[in-house]
Order: sequence, then structure tokens, then C-alpha cells
Amino acid sequence: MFKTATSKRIAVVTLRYLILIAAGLLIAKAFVVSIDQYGTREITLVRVNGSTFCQSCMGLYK
Amino acid sequence: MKRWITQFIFLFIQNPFIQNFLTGTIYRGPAKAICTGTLTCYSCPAAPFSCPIGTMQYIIEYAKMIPTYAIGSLAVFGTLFGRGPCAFACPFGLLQDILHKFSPFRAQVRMTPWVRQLKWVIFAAFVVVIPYWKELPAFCAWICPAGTLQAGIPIVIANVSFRVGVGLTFAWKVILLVLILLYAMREQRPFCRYLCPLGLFLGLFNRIAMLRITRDRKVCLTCGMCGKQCPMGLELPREINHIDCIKCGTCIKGCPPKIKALSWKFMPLDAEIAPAEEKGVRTQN
Repeated sequence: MFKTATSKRIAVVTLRYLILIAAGLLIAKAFVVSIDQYGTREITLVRVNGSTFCQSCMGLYK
Repeated sequence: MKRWITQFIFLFIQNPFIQNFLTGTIYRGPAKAICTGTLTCYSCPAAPFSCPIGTMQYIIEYAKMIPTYAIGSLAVFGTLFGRGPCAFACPFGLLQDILHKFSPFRAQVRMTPWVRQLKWVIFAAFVVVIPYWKELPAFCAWICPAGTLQAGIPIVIANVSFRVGVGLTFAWKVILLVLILLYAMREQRPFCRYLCPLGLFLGLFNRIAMLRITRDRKVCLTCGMCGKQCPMGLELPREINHIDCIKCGTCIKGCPPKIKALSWKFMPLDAEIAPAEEKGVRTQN
């Protein structure tokens, strides 16, 4: 795909930083953007879920 | 530093509230908003953090949306370390390593080519499709042996209110856990090789991750000594930094001392490039 090592290197390094930036934006979105009309943030769901006995590990879920 | 020391350090970092095992309760503080890069069940009494795969399922199931936070967290871990957390930080990986190390039945088994693709099915079906379609965290509920070991069994033992409700699903999960652990005594890390959706997700970043195992093609004899002890049973050196490579560094130790063709690099710019590649010759990695 890449004819020279230099072009491959540039592509890999660029992709790394693009992914890191995109990941940062995705994480930031969870703190900022509301997912329903009540203003709930995704991070709130993550924290609440993490603080709950989901019971699926015990096979009790539903 | 030896890998097992790092594994134990991360085991304690990820499980500091050991006293909760006695009461069958879980930590509910603000740290639960942090997703780790390892399979640590958020219902584990000792765990302060959240499991990214459990979080993914919950967001898909409950909010019917793409779990951007878990994906973003895993993308950060993946871009920095690839599958490195599997080798150096995952508690369930540590358990499998210990069982294999001290097992009288252990064998160095190559990764079975078609079975290794099972991870894709597990990820697509049990982490994405069934949670969306049936509103059930299917991977946690039916498969995850780490959850059974870290959360299910301790809570059922310590908490009477949960003990009375367990049934066939719990029995299935315990049987699956036992089978995986028994098989880990023969083939190293079977769960990581064939079933772990988290390892699959992190492995997608292996090729571009900043943490890399590099091969000096000028001195590498392609003798295959590096692959003799690979815990993932990869064909080395061809599959270094492959999607299934956990970057544990066993291959680096396996490389004959007089050759030393393999090494760790973080953000390598020049070292991974061989003279042949510089001239535009197509190479394997």
C-alpha cells in the first residue's frame, strides 16, 4: 500500500494522533452532550451503572 | 521489571476495597465513572472502576446509542498500548498465566486459526446485537468468566439476598468459568485467545499503537525461537504486533542473546524501519 517506509511512517503517526483526538472528543461528548430531554449525560449513566449491582454476573439479570 | 510484578501491582490498583468481599457490597464512588482497559467487573466488591465492555452493553441496551465514552476510553488505551493492558494489567489474564505456569499438563499450543475469529462473533452478537435487540447485557449475563469470578461468586457467597435467587444461568456461568480455567492449565490464555471482546477491541489498534515490539530485520534470522514461548501461540516473528499480540515481550526474551533482533519501543520513528523497507521493498509487518 505504501511505496516507501517514510510514507508509511507518516501515515501511522498521523492516524495515531487523529484517533487520539477523536477519542478525546468522544470522551468529552459524554460529559457535555445530553442524551435525553432531562439533560442526562452519558457519563452519569456510566457512573450509575458502575455503582449498581447489575446482577448479570450472577445470572440474575431479568 | 518482570511482567508478573506489574500484573500484581495492577491487580491491587484495580481491587483496593478487599474488605467489601466480606460484606458482599460494592464501591459506589465517583471513580466508577472511569473505564479501565481491562476486564474488571464493575460489580466486583473490590473494584473502584468500571469495565468498558459492561459499560458498552449497558449504554447500548439502556440508551440505545453508540457508547462513545467506552469506545473513546478504549481508543486511548489502544492507541497508547495496543493489547498491552491484556498482558500487564488484566486480572483474569494473570489468573490464566498462573494456572498455566504451575500446571503439570501445560503445552505450548499454536493458536487455532479459525477459532481465533470467534472473538468477532462474541463481540458482535453478545456485546452489540443482543443488548440492543433484547435489552440484555448478554456477554456479562451468559459468558464473562471474569465477572463470574470477581463478582458473581463472591457476592453470592457473601450476600444472602442474592444467594436465594441464583439458578441455571449462574450454574452455566460457573461451569463455563471452570472449563476455561481448566483449559488454561493446558493452553495458555484460552479466553484471551478465542473469546475476549475487550482484547479484540484493543487489538484493532495494535498496528498503530505507540507501544510496539520492533524487529531489526538486519539481524533477524527468522529462526522462530521468539515464538516458542508466545502465550498467545502466534506465528512469530511474522505476527509481531498482530491483532492477537498482547505485547507481553516473551518473544523478546526468546530471541537468542547473540542476535537480539527484537526490542520494546515507545513511539518509534526510525527503529522499526529496516533497510529493505527504506528501499521500498515490501515486508511482512
